[in-house]
Amino acid sequence: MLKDVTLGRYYPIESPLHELDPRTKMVAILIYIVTTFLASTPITCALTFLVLCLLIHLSKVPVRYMVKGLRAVVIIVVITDLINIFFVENGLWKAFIVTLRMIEIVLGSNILSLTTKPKTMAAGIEKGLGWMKRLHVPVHDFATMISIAFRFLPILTQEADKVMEAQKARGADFESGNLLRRAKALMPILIPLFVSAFRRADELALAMDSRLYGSGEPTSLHPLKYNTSDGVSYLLAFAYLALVIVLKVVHV
Amino acid sequence: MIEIRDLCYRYDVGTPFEKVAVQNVSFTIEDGAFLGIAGSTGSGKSTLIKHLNGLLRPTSGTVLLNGEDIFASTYDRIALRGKVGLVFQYPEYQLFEETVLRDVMFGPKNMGLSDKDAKQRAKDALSLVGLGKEYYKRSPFALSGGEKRRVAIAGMLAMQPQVLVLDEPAAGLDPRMHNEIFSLLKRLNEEGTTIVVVSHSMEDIAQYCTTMALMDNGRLVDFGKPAEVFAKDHVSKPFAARVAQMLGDFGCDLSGVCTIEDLVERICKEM
Repeated sequence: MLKDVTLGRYYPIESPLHELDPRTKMVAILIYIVTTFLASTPITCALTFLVLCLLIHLSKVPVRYMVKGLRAVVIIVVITDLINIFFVENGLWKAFIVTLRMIEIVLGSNILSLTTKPKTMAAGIEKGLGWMKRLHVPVHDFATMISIAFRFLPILTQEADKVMEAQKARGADFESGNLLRRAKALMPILIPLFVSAFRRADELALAMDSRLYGSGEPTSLHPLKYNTSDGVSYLLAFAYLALVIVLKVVHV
Repeated sequence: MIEIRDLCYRYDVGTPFEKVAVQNVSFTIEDGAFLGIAGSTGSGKSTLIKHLNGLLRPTSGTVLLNGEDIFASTYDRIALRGKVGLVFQYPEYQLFEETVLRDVMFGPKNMGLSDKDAKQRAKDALSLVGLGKEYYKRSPFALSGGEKRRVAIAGMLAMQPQVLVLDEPAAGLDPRMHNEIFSLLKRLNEEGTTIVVVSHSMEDIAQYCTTMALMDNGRLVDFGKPAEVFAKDHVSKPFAARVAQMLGDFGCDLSGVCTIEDLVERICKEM
């Protein structure tokens, strides 16, 4: 059930996007998301959508698997669409743009997490923000926190699945009844889940302490290095950004 | 009686995470049996038992309870959970109520019992696992590990299932608690409950089980009386069977021995 959550899950295959440096991917996806906000005309919308299709194609992740990630935002999209259509001038077009934007943002960030291992992502954040160390920003701790958060996502969903199965075995019913009953039915899952999350956090803190976390500047086993493909990707990403800005300025 | 027929289960079908967990497993659990399921980690034991109360739907094959297909669309699978009780590994992580008594009442109440009946069943179940009145009002989170485990098992006993399935019920417990849990299971079995236990401990299986199933790589490798299965060489043997085998090399015939009691008795006879 919860296994359907694709957010933050790495998809282990080989593709040009998997090969790229995490910093390149993060900057590129950031640029992409900015362009989705700039796009407001049919041509620019078509362009951003085309780029999304291209990225999905390059990532080699099956489209079906990718689209699963959209389930989480369906309700938000439907509500904003309804408001736009009924209460806003030229609502149909606005609703279309907002829907497109949501899809693009979710899938865009999905592409990043599906093609980048959480660990690599954290290394990318650490190195990419390395200059902030001079300003005494604890970049390494920040990166560690992010990678732990990513690492805990699948663990917690697995744990939720386990607790859910255990309560189902005790006859709990999560699938019938009205909203209030269902919300109440969640308590037997949420409480054990919180308890175990705190326990895990405690254990992790102890384990990190016993391995002397924080006692010195850590070094990396596989230091990140840019390749030619990264250079090309940066170039393409910025060219694409420039193109969208130009189109925006000339109102096409 | 539970009949497992040609059961197959694959995880995450259609993704790169796809994995065969159970392959063409068939066997029958007779009423009143004390069945032990053994096998190394990842051999599909836990996946297999999740089919017994319908938590997992098999990729192919099926399970019959008293002759009825539990995966038929008309079968009441919520009621099934009351008939086949499944206690997971480390069941203490499923506790959630404010008091021990209320947590144990959760199952019976889900079965549609009144507060009064559920309370009675909960009290009975708690006394079965050796927890008295003084525990009723305590928070399950304030108990020791062994006590939590007993509360969780009581939570399932309170549903009074015909078949009780437990995944490693004694994992991580001290030897005394370990024995207490298995003695409890033996007592329940003598009173008529069918017991299925997943265990890594060949000692426990030799000591308590009337039948054993041996799994490897998702397949059923052997099924039969523990003494017969342990006579073969494809399984790590319990202590008594190992001693019997070693003595056998010196010419003593101690075949079919797999518990310490048997061993002592047979050695005494030989002498």
